[in-house]
Amino acid sequence: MKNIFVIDDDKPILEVTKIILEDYGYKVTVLDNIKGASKLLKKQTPDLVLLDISINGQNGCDFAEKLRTGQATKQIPVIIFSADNKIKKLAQKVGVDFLAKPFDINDLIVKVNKYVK
Amino acid sequence: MNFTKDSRKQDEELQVILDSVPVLIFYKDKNNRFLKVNKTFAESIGMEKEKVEGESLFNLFPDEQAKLFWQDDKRVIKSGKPKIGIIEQAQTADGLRWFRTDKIPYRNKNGEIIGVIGFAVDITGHKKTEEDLKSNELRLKSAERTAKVGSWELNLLTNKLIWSDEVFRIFEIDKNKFDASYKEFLNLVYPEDRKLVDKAYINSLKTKAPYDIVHRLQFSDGRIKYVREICETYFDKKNTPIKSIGSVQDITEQINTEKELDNLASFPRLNPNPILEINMKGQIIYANPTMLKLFPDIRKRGMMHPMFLSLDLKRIKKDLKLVRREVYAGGRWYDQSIIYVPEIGNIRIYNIDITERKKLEQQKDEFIAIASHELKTPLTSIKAFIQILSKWSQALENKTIPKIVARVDEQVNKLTNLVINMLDETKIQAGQLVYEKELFNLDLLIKEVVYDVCVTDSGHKYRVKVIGKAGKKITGDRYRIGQVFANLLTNAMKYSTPGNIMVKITPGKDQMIVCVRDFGKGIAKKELGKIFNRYYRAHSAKKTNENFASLGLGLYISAEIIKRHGGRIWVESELGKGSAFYFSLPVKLK
Repeated sequence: MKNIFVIDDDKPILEVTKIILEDYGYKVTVLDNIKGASKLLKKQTPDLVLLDISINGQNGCDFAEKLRTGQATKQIPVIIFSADNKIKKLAQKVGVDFLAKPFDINDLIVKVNKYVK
Repeated sequence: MNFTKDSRKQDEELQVILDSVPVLIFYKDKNNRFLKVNKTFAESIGMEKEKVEGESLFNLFPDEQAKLFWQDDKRVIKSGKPKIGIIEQAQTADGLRWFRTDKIPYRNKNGEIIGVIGFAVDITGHKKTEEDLKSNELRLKSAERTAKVGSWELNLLTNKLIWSDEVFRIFEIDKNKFDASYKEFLNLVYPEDRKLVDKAYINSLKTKAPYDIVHRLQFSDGRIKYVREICETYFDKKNTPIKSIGSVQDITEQINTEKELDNLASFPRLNPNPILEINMKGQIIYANPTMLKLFPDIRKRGMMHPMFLSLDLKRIKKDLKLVRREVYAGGRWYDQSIIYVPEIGNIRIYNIDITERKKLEQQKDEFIAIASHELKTPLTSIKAFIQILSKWSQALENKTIPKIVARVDEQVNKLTNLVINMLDETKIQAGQLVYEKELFNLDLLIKEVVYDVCVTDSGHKYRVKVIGKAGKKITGDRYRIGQVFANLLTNAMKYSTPGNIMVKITPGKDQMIVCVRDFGKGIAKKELGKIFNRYYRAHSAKKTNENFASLGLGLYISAEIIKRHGGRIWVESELGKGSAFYFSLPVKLK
């Protein structure tokens, strides 16, 4: 079963994303802070990371960049989601995908399937 | 014999004297006949002496004159008393001239009056001088009156003060009742000014220099007059002051006019808002004190000052319209009203500090930005929860539940759109709306948006018909243009009765035109010009039911997006027949 990490500081988002993705047959691990995520990433290698742009004031983009450049993590695809369309460009710069909030679950599934089918 | 000889000689000599004196001498008898005249007399009437002698007065002078002469003659003959200093005119060879005539009785050895002796001196020259003087005096009087300047003279030896008529008039003193007096004058001087007047005069005596002062006069009824006094004192060789000569001018009218002008000038001078006047060359003609206080360098910097940032003087002159704009200068925001004044050929700029308003606006925009961003987060999860609920509810036996979930989804989408619009609006205000240029297929975008919008039309009450094809790709922000088209299409549904909606694409070489036409109630003419304004909600929009949630932002945002793409957005509408919204887009972005 494909494993997806969802990192966001908004609990309801974590909840609903978990429900949706599990409904589509994925294994979902939710994390509400970057520190915990970093720790877990040392033990596990997920098939995809869904990342909010801002997690408790920490920049998701910076974290994504860390993942892209980290030896152990650079193979993991990352999707950043944000309510701010401007982030799209920033995500492209870092070399990760982007999904606008609020999202349609079909769009979410299409995006996710692109990386972990 | 010797005696006779001597006596004759004496007679001759006497005759020579009489003939050569510049006085007209004549003897007349009681019957107005000339017995003897001297040469001066004869020459004055252009005749020879011998021809005059024996001739009647009436034969030598015009009747009118002769009659007057004869009257005097008769009086002297009758009374036996001389008549001295008769001023009269007589016809001479040089024309009519003035004479001063003395007439005395002519007596014989017995003392009986036998005629009249006359001496007449030509005073024409004198008389003319006198007349000239008189007319000069009249002229002076009239000049004094016109200029309201009176003159006065104070003899410091006799203390006699003379006022001209105009002084009496200015002081409003009856010339016939009162004499000129320093006391009367000082009484009239406004109490606070008395010291000044006194001091000026005393000082001028000391320094021997003339003085020139303005002071007030106060009359018993409370009226005040302003007068200008000029005075000079003359001194003899021993430096004793002899006389003071002065003039007094009523300048009340001038002072009042000056006061009025000064009052008018105080409007810009005391205006708490900065005001400017510049000529067509961009030179500063006037800057009021507020302007100079706020921007002491405005004259130095001239047109380089931020107050004049990108000001097109020629255009303002040509348009003759009041131009309103906002400028940022010296750390503050100003609302500028700029107008060309044809009467003076200059441009005036009125500024009002709107920094506080700007701050509030900014705070409001920031608040909306934060609020809408905060609203977006729960909306994201709500929307996702509903969608998964919708998916799962399909499997339920109860068919009402999926319908209810669909309704909730519809409403959440509306709420989401409102929040997105609010965010977009604040981004436009802050100049932060980012456009992502890409080459895209307009026909495909239209198709997608029509599909998306129709999906939200749950009852399938509207039929959208698309006519025409762009046929080629264009450059622009696909997402934003989709947003504009979706907005127009949604509006068409909101504001028309269920039925057809027509979308027409008109391709061109340089631009594409997209039209969305509904057949609803239309928009009133007076509203057409305002519907693209921020927060403007058409009258009809306000009345529609709660399903048509609107903040008056959709068309404003659409217009901004199209403008930023270098296109145009406009509307044609007729009440009762429907509206057609158009937007044009350049094929290639500049």
